[in-house]
Amino acid sequence: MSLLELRRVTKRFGKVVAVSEVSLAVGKGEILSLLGPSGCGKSTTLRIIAGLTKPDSGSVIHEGRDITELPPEKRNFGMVFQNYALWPHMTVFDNVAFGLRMRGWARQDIARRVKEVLELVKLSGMESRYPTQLSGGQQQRVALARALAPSPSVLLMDEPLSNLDAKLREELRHELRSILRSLRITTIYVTHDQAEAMALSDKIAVMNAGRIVQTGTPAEIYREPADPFVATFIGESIAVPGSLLSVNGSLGLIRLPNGVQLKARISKASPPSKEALLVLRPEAVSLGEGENSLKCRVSRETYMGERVEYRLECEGVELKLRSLDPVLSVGEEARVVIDPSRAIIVGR
Amino acid sequence: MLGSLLVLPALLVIVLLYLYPFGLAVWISFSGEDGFTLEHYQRVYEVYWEDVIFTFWTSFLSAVIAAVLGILIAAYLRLGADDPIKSFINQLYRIPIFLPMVVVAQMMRGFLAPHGTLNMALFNLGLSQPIEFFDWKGLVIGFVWKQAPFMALIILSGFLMVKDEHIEAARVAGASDLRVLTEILLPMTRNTVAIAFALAYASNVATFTLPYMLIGGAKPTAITVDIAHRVTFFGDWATANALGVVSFLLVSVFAVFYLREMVRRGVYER
Ligand SMILES: Nc1ncnc2c1ncn2[C@@H]1O[C@H](COP(=O)(O)OP(=O)(O)O)[C@@H](O)[C@H]1O
Ligand SMILES: [Mg+2]
Repeated sequence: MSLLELRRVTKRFGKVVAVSEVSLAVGKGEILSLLGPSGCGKSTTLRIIAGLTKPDSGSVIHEGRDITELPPEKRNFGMVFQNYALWPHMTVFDNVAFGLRMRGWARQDIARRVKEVLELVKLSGMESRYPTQLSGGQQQRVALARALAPSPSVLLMDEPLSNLDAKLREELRHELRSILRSLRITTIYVTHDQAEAMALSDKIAVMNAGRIVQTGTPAEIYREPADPFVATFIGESIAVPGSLLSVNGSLGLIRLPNGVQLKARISKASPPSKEALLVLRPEAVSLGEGENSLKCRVSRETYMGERVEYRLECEGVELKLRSLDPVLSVGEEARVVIDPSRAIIVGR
Repeated sequence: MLGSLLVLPALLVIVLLYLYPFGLAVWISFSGEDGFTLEHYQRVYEVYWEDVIFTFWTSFLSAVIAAVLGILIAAYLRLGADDPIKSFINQLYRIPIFLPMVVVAQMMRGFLAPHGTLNMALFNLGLSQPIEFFDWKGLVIGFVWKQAPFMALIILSGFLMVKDEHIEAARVAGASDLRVLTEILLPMTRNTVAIAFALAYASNVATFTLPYMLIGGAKPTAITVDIAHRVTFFGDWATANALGVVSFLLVSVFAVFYLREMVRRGVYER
């Protein structure tokens, strides 16, 4: 049985439908990411789970109980806000102790628990600092400690790493992952960053325009996209519309507008249809000749350090090719092979 | 150099219009037939000391009650659900702020009279004797009626500076409305509340119409009534000024705090 469930939850702000008929289920100890572009309704969904926003319809179920009308202070959830939202008039200790005080813990128990949680987030010794005396990364750790201290039933995180610089973000991402795993805490993690979602989650729910368009493991979301949105939003995808000519097992033959016919794998999550989309990610494209190949001209070369990225003009289709070493130059002609097991066909 | 020249006119106006009359009043309060004297202060002590104490505690008590009510109104407007009742109250509560004190005093006379609205209501609840409200009770009720909305307005402006996120974080962490108020809103707007309190208290000390119309010359009464009495019936500016200086001292305790905070961080915190 799932620990937390949303059933057909809808929320409008005036004419804007922020969340539309969203249903999802999170199992105990599971980490679920809500992944989608800015404005797709992730935060609103999270706020509905927290009880900070009342849905227009639908229900929130926690341990089998309908908590849609329950105020946030009675839900026993923890939340980490995008801008940390630490209370500026309280020290680190008081920020972390707050939830425990609200639950009526005894003084010694509070001191012990705060110490424990601050150790977990590697902030021991910072107890008497004020939030303004901390770096962004440290503030985020305090926010996490504050949310975790009362051992909430569910941890809600809204883009917790988005205000940090790239390097710190990656570092914290790994640390966060090991903390969440070690605590086995049920987590709903909101992000627009697919790498973050992939690295952290057991399951990802991809949202678009207020709806959940696909839910699955990171591998399923990446390899078996359910529709053109997921296919193009996840990975560095190039999508070419075409028509599906024939299906042979898991492979399909698609004809592109320029008349070229290519073989590619049909996504398991998307039933084959005549109107189809060929999704080409860089890993599906390599230099070579023969079957399933295209004639290309190099239109741009970008040196990225650990690799080189080429923009190719291939019989009317734009492709990206990656190479560890510089092997082509702009204007040069080359043939590329499309790997039929890595190119994906989805219905549109 | 040019900078100081430019502020000179402003400085001159302040000195001429504010400091000079104030200094003159203080001067007169210490001047007798033969130069410096404390006799006016002695009269204040002998005749009016009871009124000085009365003015202090009625003003202070009213400001405390008004602060509590103002905080509750502001908390409701900040934390309550957005519904028609809230928007109605949000409009309604400001009305007393714009009523002149003399109008409030007139209303209070009707409301608090021996056969006024309040006593009739109490009579209907079973009280046999009407309560005499034309003393400190009426004064406090009038002050609170006038000041609570004013304090609510200022305190609400402070509460609105507190970010939603800070309130929501507290809610998710398990804080009820009351705990949000006492743990987040009030500590984060301490100075705004203190300033609202100081302003209300100072304005109570300085009010003439309400004590004049409710209590008049009966004892004890407010310093302002004594000052008017001293001037109108005795032409005694010296004692009136001494009383004025005393009421200034009553206020200045809080005024000092007010000015210090104004200079230190502007009227509103972060
Ligand atoms: N309080 C609000 N009032 C009006 N519109 C809102 C409010 N909150 C969110 N929205 C709108 O709802 C949509 C979804 O917002 P949000 O849930 O914040 O998206 P995300 O977190 O995915 O970026 C957006 O169009 C946004 O403008
Ligand atoms: Mg958001």
